[in-house]
Amino acid sequence: MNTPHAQYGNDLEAIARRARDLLAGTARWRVLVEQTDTLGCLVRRGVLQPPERSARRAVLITVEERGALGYGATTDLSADGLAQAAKRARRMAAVLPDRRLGAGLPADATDPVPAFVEPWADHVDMTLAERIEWLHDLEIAMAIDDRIHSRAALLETTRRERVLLDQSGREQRQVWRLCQAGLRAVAVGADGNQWRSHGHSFQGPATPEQLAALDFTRERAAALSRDALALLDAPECPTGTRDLILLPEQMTLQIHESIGHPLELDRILGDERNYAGWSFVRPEDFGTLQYGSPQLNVLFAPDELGEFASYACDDEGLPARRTHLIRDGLLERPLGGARSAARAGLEPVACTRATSALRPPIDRMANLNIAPGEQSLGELIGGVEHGVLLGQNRSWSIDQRREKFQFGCEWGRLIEDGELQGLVRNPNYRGRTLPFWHSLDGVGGADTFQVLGLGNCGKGEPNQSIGVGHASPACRFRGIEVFGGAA
Amino acid sequence: MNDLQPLIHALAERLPALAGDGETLFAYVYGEQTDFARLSRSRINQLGHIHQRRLTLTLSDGRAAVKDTWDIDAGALDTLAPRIERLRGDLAASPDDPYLSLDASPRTAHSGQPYEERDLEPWLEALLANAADDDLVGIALSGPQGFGLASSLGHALSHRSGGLSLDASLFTPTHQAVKIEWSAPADGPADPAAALAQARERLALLGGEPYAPAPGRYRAYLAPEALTELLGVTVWQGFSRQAVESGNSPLDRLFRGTAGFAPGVRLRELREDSNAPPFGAAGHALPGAVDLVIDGRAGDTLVSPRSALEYGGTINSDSGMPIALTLDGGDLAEADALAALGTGLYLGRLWYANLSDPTHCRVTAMTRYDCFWVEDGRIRAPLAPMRIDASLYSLLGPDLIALSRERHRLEDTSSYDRRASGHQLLPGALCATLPVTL
Repeated sequence: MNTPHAQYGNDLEAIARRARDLLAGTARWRVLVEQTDTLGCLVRRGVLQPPERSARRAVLITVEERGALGYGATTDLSADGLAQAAKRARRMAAVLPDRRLGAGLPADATDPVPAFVEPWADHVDMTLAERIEWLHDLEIAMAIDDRIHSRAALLETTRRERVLLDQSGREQRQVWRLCQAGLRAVAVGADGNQWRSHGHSFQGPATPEQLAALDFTRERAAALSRDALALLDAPECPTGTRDLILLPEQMTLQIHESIGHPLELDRILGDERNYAGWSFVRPEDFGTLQYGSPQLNVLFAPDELGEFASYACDDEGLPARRTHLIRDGLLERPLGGARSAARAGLEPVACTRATSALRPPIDRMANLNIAPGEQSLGELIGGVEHGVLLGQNRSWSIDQRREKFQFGCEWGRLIEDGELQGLVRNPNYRGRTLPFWHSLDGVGGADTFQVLGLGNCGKGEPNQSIGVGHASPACRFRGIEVFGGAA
Repeated sequence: MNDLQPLIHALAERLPALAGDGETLFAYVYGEQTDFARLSRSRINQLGHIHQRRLTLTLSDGRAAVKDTWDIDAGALDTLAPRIERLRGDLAASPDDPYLSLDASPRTAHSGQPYEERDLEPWLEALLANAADDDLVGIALSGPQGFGLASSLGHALSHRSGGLSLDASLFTPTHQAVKIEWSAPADGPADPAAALAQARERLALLGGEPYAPAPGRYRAYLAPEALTELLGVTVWQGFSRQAVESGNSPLDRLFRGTAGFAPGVRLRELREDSNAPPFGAAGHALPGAVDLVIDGRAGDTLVSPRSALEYGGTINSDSGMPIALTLDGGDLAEADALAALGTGLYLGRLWYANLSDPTHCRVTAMTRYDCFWVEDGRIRAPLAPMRIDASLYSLLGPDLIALSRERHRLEDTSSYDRRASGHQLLPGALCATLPVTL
């Protein structure tokens, strides 16, 4: 039978217990075992690239000694391999105890761990043959004109299972079904090329019905090609100060770069200064800094069904609960897990995550969402005299303290006197984080709200790439510097 | 580490028996044993060890191919048969692939330099003692790496690398910083003390109130460490044959012939000087050098095995991405860079570059680390964070005044999924005008 993924039942729990048994006599320890199965398929210009499966299995053993942590990660799950990892973790925990930054494993578990119910346990993904047919069907729908030189349709599904044990009695098992799908059409013109894309990262089964509900349809595929062709003849986005309306597929990056990353507590504490950077936010800003307009409400939402980074517990075993990070524009709390929160003297949220068991967990975004407001998209547009509506993100850049940003999108529509006008190409905008969020004066309602995600957020040393979720309505911002393409 | 040669030879012996009629099997293996020490404020933040070994198996029936990757231990050979059986099911479901290209010329070769595991603790202790009064932030990585490829046709290739490296920053109390990128020499003491001392000297230049130039156009010197960030936007799809033909390359105009760089710009892919394995996952031998830009005009693209069949050309790359991008130097002595700059911006590093206008290869980025305002050839003040936005066709074209004679070798220090291989070798660039936008 052509089953996309294998099921492991109690296998991972057995491995976790074997690792646990090796830590007898160790006062404080944690074992994280992971199995991740992936199947990726890409059809490009009518040709299926070789389908790729992977089955990654690893263990991360963490030992604490006198407040210092040591990690032993291994893909060798034999008795000897686990023994080596445990030995390494103990050894590393004992190294240079007087030269440590401080903060060990989280406090012993006291809260009851919420049961994680996998809502799609009985749902079956498309078989490989079905995926190939589905991808070909969408890809060929983009072939509407000889100027479409590139057409790509991809689908990748992942089943991830993790088991966590620690000395305080935490025993957690979580299973995720992750799906990433994408379409892209590139139009080649006499003086340049334009593309349009459509992508989703979500939790749930890869079925035609689920994907159709996310607009992966032949009609949408053909529309992408038509839009790319239209962009070839569109004028450049004009330069000047305009009001912006950002659709959810651009709000994703805006949230990610100028709210999510600056609020990561380990970054605020300076841990990322050599790589991903620092933050302008200081510990004393929580509870005092007006981050944005009163219309800005930002939630850490690990319970959003179907969003890419939903989970019951983080990778330190803390139960994850929905909470405001920014309420009515006021900064309330950081994205800090137990370890960072202990260092900073703040309350944690359960956001410590590792990309795999081959990396130590660090503070990460999970699902970071903007709460919807009341206005329809038409009302948002109607309130703009001189502006531009921006769609799918294409480019992102921000400084290492998360203040000066610049974004580019695949397309824009001008707005004049409350009415949508013509298409423009190469729209970009730039600004500074706090003034930008203070310029927020319109938040779309539930009918503009979309749950989206990003598959690859990079951070940490050694580096880690992880998936995050960002849900947002359309939003309006006043007086932003916009510009287009030029030599 | 556990040298991969025995495993590769064992795979080369086993795979022919496992391949069915008309089938070909390729097995690509990667392994590492890495100690990591993550530092902040000259103290240990996270300390650990990573053991990783994985195998990627490609099964082909000559008509199509499918792949599977899994982690292996000492019993790796016993895991092959069931995986192959499942892959046969995948293969049966896959349509013909007209661009399938697996190397059909088996060979045996072993390359690279071994690196023995060493006890990191004494080295770490010495480093942190030396930096006790500094604010040192970063990562030390130590350990061996191995790569290997075996096939049912008889390929048996392996490559060894690894080392001890420090990628770190030194910070002032006012948040200015300089970068330290140090690797232990193959021969000689593994002592970064000199690198730390030099970094402190550079850090001293960053005292004083930062200067924020107004948006506008400025004369600028881009150190190699800044130029690499801008050229980085071309690495992903710039030179790939597949990207150029499909309209995805930001260097589209270069390869159309409607844009170019200054005549002194020569860019090459020089694998022969790289620490990366000299073989790709499909087994093809790759040339040591590819001319990408010659006298400012388009040369060859990087042609992967698949692209060679899809678009024509000779295979000269594994993936279409350069792993050893090299820019020839010019006539400007680095020691004369400030004097030649006169008044303007000295950019030691740039960060978070991205394309703002792909058609014109226009790139935006932020300043970071040792960037200065210079007047009459003398450093006057560190720069406040600034955003630039400029076309590479301009910066390395009509606005290019000179390239430095000396070049810096910039190793790829990323560690997503595994420790990266590869580097860039670049000079600095003196430019007549660089747009500052924010």
